[in-house]
Amino acid sequence: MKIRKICMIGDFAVGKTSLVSRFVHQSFGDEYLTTVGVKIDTREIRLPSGDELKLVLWDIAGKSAFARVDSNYLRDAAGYLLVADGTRGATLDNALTLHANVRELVGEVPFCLLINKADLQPQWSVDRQRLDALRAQGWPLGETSALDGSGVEAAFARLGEQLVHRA
Amino acid sequence: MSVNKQPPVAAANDERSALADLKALLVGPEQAAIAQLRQESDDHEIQAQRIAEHLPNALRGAYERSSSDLTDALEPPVSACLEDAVQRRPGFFADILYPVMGPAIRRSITQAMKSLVQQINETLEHSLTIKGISWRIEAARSGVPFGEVVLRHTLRYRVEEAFLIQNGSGLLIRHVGQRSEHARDADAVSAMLTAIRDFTRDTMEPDSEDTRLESVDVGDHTLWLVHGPDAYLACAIRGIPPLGLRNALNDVLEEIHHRHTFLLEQFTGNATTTAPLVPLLDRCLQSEREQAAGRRFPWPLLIVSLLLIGALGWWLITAWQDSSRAQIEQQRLQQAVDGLKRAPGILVTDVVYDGERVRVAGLNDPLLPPPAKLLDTAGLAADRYTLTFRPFESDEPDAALARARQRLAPPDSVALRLDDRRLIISGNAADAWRQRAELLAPTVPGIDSVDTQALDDIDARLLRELRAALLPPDGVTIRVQDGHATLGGRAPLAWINALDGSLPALDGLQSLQHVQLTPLEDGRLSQLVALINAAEVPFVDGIVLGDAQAAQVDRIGAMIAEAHQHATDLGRTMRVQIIGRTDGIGSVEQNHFVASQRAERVAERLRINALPMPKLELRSVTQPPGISQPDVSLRRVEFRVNGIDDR
Ligand SMILES: Nc1nc2c(ncn2[C@@H]2O[C@H](COP(=O)(O)OP(=O)(O)OP(=O)(O)O)[C@@H](O)[C@H]2O)c(=O)[nH]1
Ligand SMILES: [Mg+2]
Repeated sequence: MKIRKICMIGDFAVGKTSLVSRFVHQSFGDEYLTTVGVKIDTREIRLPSGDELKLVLWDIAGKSAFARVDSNYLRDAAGYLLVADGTRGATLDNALTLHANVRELVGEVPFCLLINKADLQPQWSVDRQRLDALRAQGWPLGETSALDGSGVEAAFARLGEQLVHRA
Repeated sequence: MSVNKQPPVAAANDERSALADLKALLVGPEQAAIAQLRQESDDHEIQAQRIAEHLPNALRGAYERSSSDLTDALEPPVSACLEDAVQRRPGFFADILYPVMGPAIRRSITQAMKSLVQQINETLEHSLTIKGISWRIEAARSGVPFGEVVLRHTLRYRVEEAFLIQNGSGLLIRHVGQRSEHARDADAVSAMLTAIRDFTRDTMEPDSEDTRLESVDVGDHTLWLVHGPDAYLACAIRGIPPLGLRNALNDVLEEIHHRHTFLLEQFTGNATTTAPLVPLLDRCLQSEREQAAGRRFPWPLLIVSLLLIGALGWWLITAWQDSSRAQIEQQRLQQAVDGLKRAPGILVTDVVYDGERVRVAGLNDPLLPPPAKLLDTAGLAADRYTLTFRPFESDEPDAALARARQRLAPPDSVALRLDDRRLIISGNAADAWRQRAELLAPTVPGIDSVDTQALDDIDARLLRELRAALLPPDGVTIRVQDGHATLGGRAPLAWINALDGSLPALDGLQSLQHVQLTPLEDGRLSQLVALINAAEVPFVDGIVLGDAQAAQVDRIGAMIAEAHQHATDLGRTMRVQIIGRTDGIGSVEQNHFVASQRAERVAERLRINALPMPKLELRSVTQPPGISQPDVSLRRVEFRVNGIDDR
């Protein structure tokens, strides 16, 4: 059994904690309790390739664009999920900024950009063209909803696959 | 073969040999070398030799270059070989492994026994105290085994779990714990712990590398963190650890870093690679037992020991009692049989003891108490013995005496005694019996001779003495039987009366009877009565008593007087009827008158002599009327004596 450290990175209230909760406990709460510091969960997954993997999920408190990403929590992470909120276009910008920061700290490790709250697609204000451009550049990009669970398993599995094949 | 023209044969040969020479000159040595090489490469033996020469070096080189590559390459075939070999010759490997396995198994068993004993002691020590009971309740409530609860309370400290955690990622490298069943997500714990550690550092002094979380208090646990360059050690400790423990933990962590640098650096979350760390990490799981203050006296142990000793004692006592009871029974059995052997008239030939039973065989004299009775009086129940006895005549004194008694049938007055096979007969017995006894006694087994000197024929002596003392008249018989004398026959009344009240003082005389003795006077009275009754006084005519008749009346009167005297002596009252008779001539009245006058005349005459007379009754008897013939014989007086037979 391989064990990997994964970090959840993103702005406030984009749904990082909700995604972990959905992924680990198959539950969702619409109440917003902001994360202080970090919260850790684990889950074992079996990848389509047959590998078994245990993910140690570091759900790090949301960071605004101006805050320095907490280097300690990120150290030696095997991969990370960048999370943005589809209903708040600015969170995508922030995600990209954070991405650059994280890169400096942990190097080129597998990651995935998730545009969350897919269940609220009609209210989305995120720049679609920007997303397409990123996709075209080869960014791993997914749309998820912690509320109904769509895209969540797939997003984690995709990252997991990358982690295994990289090692 | 790109020759265009055929050269002459000789020239060609020349050319060829020249070429060959040239070749030999130019590349001769190489050719030889090539030939040799070819030969060698074809020759497997040489090849094998070559490889053998270089193989160790080659292997060494390969190992130095990349140890893991070589081990990876060698692992499958080597393990296959081993497996195969072990399967084919298990005995061989068992022999090889035995010296290694034996001590190891022994050590592990010893260890297990030690900890078991320790646990038993612990449990004993604590199960009988109030504290122990409260711990038991705690164990029941929390579902933790009692032993564990005891341990918790009696330990000063115990390192219950140790986590070796990679510094940056917070990934758990290895976890060891006292209780393997701990189902907690050690990975999450490690990450969390790392996050906390990093968080505190950031909060306190973000830039200083020295400020590091060292200890966390959580309930009755303390978490100690020991930091190293690549990994840190987090130990969950119950109780209050001594400061020295930190040094020990430090040493462990240092050694891990020193010996497994590569492993720590390269750790990417592959738990399988970290198994070699376990023995080192296990050294973290230290503990120290609370030293009981002043080493309390081990009461529970004492109580348990006393109980055990008591039980043992009880068992011994009952066992002893059982055995002694059995022994007593056995003894009693033996004593009874011994008594049987000693008893007179019993000859024991065979004794077989069978537990609490016995089988006895032999001979017994039926005249003496039988074996069964002897065993019975010895207090032996009938189901304890089986007897097989046949009768015989014993010559032992008891048997001889009993047999003599049976054969001689001595009277009660005789006593028998045996003195060294000599039968001594004493007492009183008839001569006839003595003679018979003297004859029969020596036929009894155990009796050789008879002594009758002490035997007296008392009856014979008494007879002699009675005759001398009583001087019985003729007609008196004397019989003496066993000292009782009986007189019979006839004797004068006066002699008989003299006997009454005067028992002669004779030695051995028990009694004297004379009821069978008849007084001689009795016979005279009967004679007289017969004479009186037969007497008659004739009257020829009239009522006058002539002289001849008067003399006859006087003779009769004397007889009546004597009879009266005897009757009075014998205590009887005699009466005499005087009956006057007539014939039938004349009237009845006249005849009655005549008859009564005749009786009167006789009575008068009887009274004239003034002899003592009994009562006289006068009667008259006449013939019925109508008889006209005179009958002189009817004219008379008769007598009838009455009252003699009344007693
Ligand atoms: N409709 C909808 N709401 C969501 C979704 N995911 C999260 N939310 C809501 O968004 C809010 C914030 O979610 P969190 O998961 O706490 O956000 P976060 O990124 O962990 O926030 P911080 O911990 O403060 O950084 C909560 O009220 C959630 O209910 C989603 O997929 N759809
Ligand atoms: Mg959160």
